Amino acid sequence: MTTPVTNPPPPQPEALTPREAPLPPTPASSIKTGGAGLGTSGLLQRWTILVPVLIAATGALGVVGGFLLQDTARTTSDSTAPALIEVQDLFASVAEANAAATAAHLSVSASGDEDRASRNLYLDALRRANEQLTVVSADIGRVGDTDTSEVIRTDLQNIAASLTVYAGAVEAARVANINNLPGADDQLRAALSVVDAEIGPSVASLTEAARARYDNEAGRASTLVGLAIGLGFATLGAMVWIQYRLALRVRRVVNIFLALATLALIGFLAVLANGLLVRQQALNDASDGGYDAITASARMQEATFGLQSQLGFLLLEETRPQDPNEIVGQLIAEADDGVETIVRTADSDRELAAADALNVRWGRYRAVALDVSSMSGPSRSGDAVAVFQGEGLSSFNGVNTAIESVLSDNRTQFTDGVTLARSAVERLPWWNLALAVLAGVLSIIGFQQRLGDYR
Amino acid sequence: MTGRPIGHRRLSRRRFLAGMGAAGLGAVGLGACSSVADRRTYDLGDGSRLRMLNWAEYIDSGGPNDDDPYYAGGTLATLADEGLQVDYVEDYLDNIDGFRKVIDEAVTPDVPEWDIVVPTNWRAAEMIANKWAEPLPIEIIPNHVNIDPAYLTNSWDRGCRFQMPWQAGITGIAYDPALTGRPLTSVSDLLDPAFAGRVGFIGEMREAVGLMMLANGDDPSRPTRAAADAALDDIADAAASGQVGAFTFNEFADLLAAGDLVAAMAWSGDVAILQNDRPDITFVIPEEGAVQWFDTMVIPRGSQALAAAGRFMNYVYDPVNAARITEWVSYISPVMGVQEELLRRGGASAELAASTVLFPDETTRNRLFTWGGLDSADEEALDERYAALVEGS
Repeated sequence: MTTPVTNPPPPQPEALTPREAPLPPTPASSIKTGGAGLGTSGLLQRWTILVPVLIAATGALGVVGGFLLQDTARTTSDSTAPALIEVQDLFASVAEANAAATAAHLSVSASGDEDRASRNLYLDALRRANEQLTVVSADIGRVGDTDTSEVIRTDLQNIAASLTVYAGAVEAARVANINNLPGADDQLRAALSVVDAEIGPSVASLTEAARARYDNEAGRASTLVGLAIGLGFATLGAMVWIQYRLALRVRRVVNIFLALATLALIGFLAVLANGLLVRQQALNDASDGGYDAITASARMQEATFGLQSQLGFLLLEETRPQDPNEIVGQLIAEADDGVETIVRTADSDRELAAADALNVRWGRYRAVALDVSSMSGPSRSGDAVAVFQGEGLSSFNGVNTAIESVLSDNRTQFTDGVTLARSAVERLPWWNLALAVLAGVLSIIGFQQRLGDYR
Repeated sequence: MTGRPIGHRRLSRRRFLAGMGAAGLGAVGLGACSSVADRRTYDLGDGSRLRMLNWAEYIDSGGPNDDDPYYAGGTLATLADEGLQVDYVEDYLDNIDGFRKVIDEAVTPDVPEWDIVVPTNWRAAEMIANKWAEPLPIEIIPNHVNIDPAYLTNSWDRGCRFQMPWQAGITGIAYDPALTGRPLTSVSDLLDPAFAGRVGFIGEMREAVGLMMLANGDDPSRPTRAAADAALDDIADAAASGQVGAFTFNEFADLLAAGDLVAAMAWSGDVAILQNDRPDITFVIPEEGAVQWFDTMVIPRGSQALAAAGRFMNYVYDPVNAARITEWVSYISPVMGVQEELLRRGGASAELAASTVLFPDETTRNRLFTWGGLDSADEEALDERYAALVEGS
């Protein structure tokens, strides 16, 4: 029997620990990066472990932050931002319905025949309002993980219920009016009150909640990503410091893997910081250039719709209110401010054109509103009714659609900004993940290198 | 003032509608082309040249032959003097074949053949819905504020962001009192057996069906398929019984003038022109109401002449210029201030301003119904059914 003879394994370079690290002047080819034998081997060894851990932690924070940025950007783009705009459209539709219903009602009182165009406008506007409510509900009503959700749900429910009550009251008033039954005016007044007292405040609350959600989404994940960036820079500093010390020790030889790991980490930080900054800038631009103008338009809408509603109230009153023009004057002043703001904040030729058109159409409606206001009472004036349902409704629709045009331009600017914010972070987490893994792996390999492997 | 006879237009807004059998083709098979609409044109162009496709004789005309749209002092000549050359072609024949041609050109090549086309409102709505239209360059159309608000609330283009109405008209009843022997006041008068074979029905489905729906007590501004089918049944019965002498477009004017028809569904502007020679021909808005429509300026997607289109639109929306066009075409102007401008001019112009057909008052407006539209499948089915009636006549 022959005893097999095995050759002893060739000597392998040992992975050195600090206590095993040879002291100078050990040949450079046998030195591992981690030991280095610089007289500070314990510190370097600790960094050998610490740096990959730091990279892992940075990567984890960055990737999670990236996914959060991506998720909130999608939510903002798909639901919150559209909802912010649609809420304004919804309010515009309700106001248009309100104005048309009042005009149709008064036309029966004035001539015995219902003004069909006004009635059709009312029906179309009410249908649109219900459709918009459905869209808004689909956009933000079902997102249930934020503090604003309960407020939004409640507002949506209130608006839905109020729209039903409103439509019922308008129909009741119409039937009574056409059949010359008592109480028709009271029922229409009740309908107008639903818009003023229920729908208007709910829309305002909904807008506020949606805006809060927008702001919340804009800020979400920023802290986490900021931490990742901070930690990343600390890690980067450590890596540079280690390489600097190694370069001093081994006379400018380069650990390729550590250098590549450093580059990967720089890339990681650049991608993360760029994503965060571009997203934030885009959302800020969307807000400053788009949504703030949308808000100004919404205030303008509110004042104009309130004015039209107030004129309707005046014409329905049997006795002239004590000072009917006080509220009218106040609403006109608010709308004047709104127009001035919209014109001032227009930041493109197209927006300026839309703002100028709004200014002209508002001027026409303003003049008619003052006419109606001055003509109405002590009891319903036939002349005032004629102006209200003719030129009044026409110019109201003119200013209403002009506001919509302003909204349309700003909405484009707003949605473009939100879309840009989304695209800035759409692939961010995946790039982060890839670069973090790359940096980690390269650093581990780099720290396993012997100086002899250096170039 | 042009010094030309008011309403001097010998032909009509619409000519013979060829190929009604192609009804609905404009909408069919083009849905897949909507992706082309994703391309947007931001270059407004230099604003010096414009290619416009319009209905026949639908702009102020004059000159030695009285039908030259480039006559000195007219819209096109004035614009040319101001540096905007308009290649104006009166070849939009109808909303079926004519429209299909526009759309084929709008969605297939990079640059459409026309920079402004003037389809009827329901076709314009289709263009906008399918993204075949450019947004208007409103930054160079300050007169956009002169659009009558009645045209701003259409659900398919609120605020007129994609189209600016060109002219509006009414489809009512025209008749020769000498031949009818009595005033006609109702759509149902067209079904009087005494006029069998000498009644004209209009070739546009939405207008004929709309009028018949009104006769049936239905509202064409909020149509249902059942109500439209019932109206079509009535029209088919009238055609089958020999009551309908002809389905016509603008030819009703010649046929009325010649006495071949005693009464017809008719376009208000064409009747106004006919009345220059035959003032006895009477146009009425039936007691049930009449159908209103409007043709509207649309910029096909891909046009490279947005600035020129904007300049043109701005010019024709100046009330002074719009009033001159109204004098010639005798249709309802969608431009605010035209009535006041005509009154300011006095004379025959002021007489036009008093017309409730050209400037409907509130009472008249309440009797006008714009076709409300059904879903595209229903509209297509109705188009095909009506086209079969027209072709079979």
